[in-house]
Amino acid sequence: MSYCVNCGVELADSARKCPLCDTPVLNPNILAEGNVEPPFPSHIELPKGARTRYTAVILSLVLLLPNIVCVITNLLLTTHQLWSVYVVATSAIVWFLFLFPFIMKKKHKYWTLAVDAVATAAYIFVFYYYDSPTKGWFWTLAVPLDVAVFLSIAALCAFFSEKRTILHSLIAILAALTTLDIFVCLIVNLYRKSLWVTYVTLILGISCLILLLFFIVADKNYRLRAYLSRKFFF
Amino acid sequence: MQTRKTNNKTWFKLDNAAKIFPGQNSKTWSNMIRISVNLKEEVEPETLHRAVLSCLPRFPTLDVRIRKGFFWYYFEKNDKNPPIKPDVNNPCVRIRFNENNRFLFRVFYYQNRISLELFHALTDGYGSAVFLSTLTAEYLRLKGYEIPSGKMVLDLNEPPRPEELEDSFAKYATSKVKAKRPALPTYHRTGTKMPKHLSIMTSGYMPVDILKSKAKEHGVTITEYLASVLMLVHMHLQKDENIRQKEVSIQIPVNCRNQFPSETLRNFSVCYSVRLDPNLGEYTFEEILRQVSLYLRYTNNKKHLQSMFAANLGLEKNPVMRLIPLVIKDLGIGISFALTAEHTTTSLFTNLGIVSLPEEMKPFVDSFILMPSPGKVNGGRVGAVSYGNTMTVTFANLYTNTDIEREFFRFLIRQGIPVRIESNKDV
Repeated sequence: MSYCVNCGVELADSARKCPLCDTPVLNPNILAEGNVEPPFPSHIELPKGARTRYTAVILSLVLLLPNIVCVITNLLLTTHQLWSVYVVATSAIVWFLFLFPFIMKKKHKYWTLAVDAVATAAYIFVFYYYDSPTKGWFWTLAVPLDVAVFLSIAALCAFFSEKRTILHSLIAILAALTTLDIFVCLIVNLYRKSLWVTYVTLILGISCLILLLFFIVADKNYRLRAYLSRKFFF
Repeated sequence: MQTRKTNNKTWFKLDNAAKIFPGQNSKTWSNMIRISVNLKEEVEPETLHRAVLSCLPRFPTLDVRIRKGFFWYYFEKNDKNPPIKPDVNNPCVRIRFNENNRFLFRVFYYQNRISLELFHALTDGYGSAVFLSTLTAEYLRLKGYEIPSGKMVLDLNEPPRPEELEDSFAKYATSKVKAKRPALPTYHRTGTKMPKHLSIMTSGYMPVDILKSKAKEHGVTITEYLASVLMLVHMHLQKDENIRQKEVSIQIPVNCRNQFPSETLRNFSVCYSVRLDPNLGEYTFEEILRQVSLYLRYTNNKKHLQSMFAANLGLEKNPVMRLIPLVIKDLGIGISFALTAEHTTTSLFTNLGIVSLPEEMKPFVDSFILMPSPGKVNGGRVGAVSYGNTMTVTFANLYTNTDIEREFFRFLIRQGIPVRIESNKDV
């Protein structure tokens, strides 16, 4: 039997260090006895993951059924108008956004986001191609906006891959919102071939910027942070 | 218990306390109880499996699977056999209702130890101790020893009695006043979390006689003494950690069978929260002991318990609550649990008390271990149980740092109580 020189507790014969303070056990008598079975097995059994993939496949099949019915009805009964395209496109975007991530065997968030970006663009394209009286806006407005939104989400995903403080999280979200706001303004202005900044962009941009600067200062200044946590303690 | 038979399937409702546990279940956490018995000889898995199978008919509340109704969960007789497995390093892993042959308890063996992990919806610490004691007795009988029934070992030849299956909460919730629950945020010793599904389990074995005499010196019980040590440890840790001090609250479940003539083997325990505010000044150990023991003695009485039952039962009997579909109930319980529950308690100290077995079993049984499931926020949650002259105090910790355990056991050592430590850490 060994005792921890630091804690004073008796330890199991198999213990190579104290479980409470990690002080190594140096007892020549115990070591001479050879391998002693530890009080707990080393085998770790992790539980199986949820059956999300299976459920996602079932839901996909359920989603497929009304689409098949719509396409058949459209082709057989109302041949003068291709309305089932909208139903299929809407189902497809729902599938890509909400079910596809669960069907992937190896989950990769950036690939999933890229697929979502392409799917969203394709969904908009369906309406652009079949329904839009004006041409050209898809490539100059919809696609750049789509890319900007998904790039912002990807940047936030990268930032939140590690655990962040509430303050840092707020700064990141506000920075992403401000950048997105500027890009949206640029893209819209390029499309409209004008230099005027809209009120919405200005109000949103300035509000985000002020809050962003305030949180950055609060993050850097310990005294301000302490004052705020004292004042807004709940 | 209201058992009903439809299409030859016996089913029954969950008891009042159990209704909350399935809703708290998450992908990584379930409210579990782990209770183990250390025998004096190595466990034979095949004999143990036979013992489990012959015990189960006597415990119809454990021989079940959980099913979803439209408004509530319910238990249904499980027609399969429960498996037994070699023990694992990560205890109290979350339970999923379609695994383990749909049983809500797991039986493990490792060297001389038989361990039982139960979903709290099935029973409380007392019920699990009775099942484990009966299982151990049957295991020893199958090995050829003469073990009679009595004390916590039930007679397997007699049918289950209705008193063992009743929902005692409903029976004794006669108070018209509903007790209020404190819901203030409290201090938590946090740190780096262990990876998912892993936790550190640290058991300290100590002699009951020395511990009892130490508690007696201060005029308190063992539960009050150990809960006060846990309180003191958290007070000291917070003092070093925080400028703004928060209340420290230790949750202490009490076995209501001691106050009411109930023989139920289902849940029949409620939790008291002993709270101390360090902002009022620095408490000495003597002062903490006094506060803890006076609070428990003042509040732990029949009248107060009945008002707590009435408060819990009031929610269940509320007609609006009853008509809400189960999916929404689960969602509500999940949100409420995430926002309150452990956030309003610093830690938990549960003392099962003495496990009493027939004299004939004593040469074969060394000690018992009780462990609550690791918390979602709380660091060291503590379970204690005594058998013979050995008391086992076990910490379930979800963080990598073991400060609470270290300070707790060091304090006992300084008080002259010898402690032997076993842990699943770094084996």
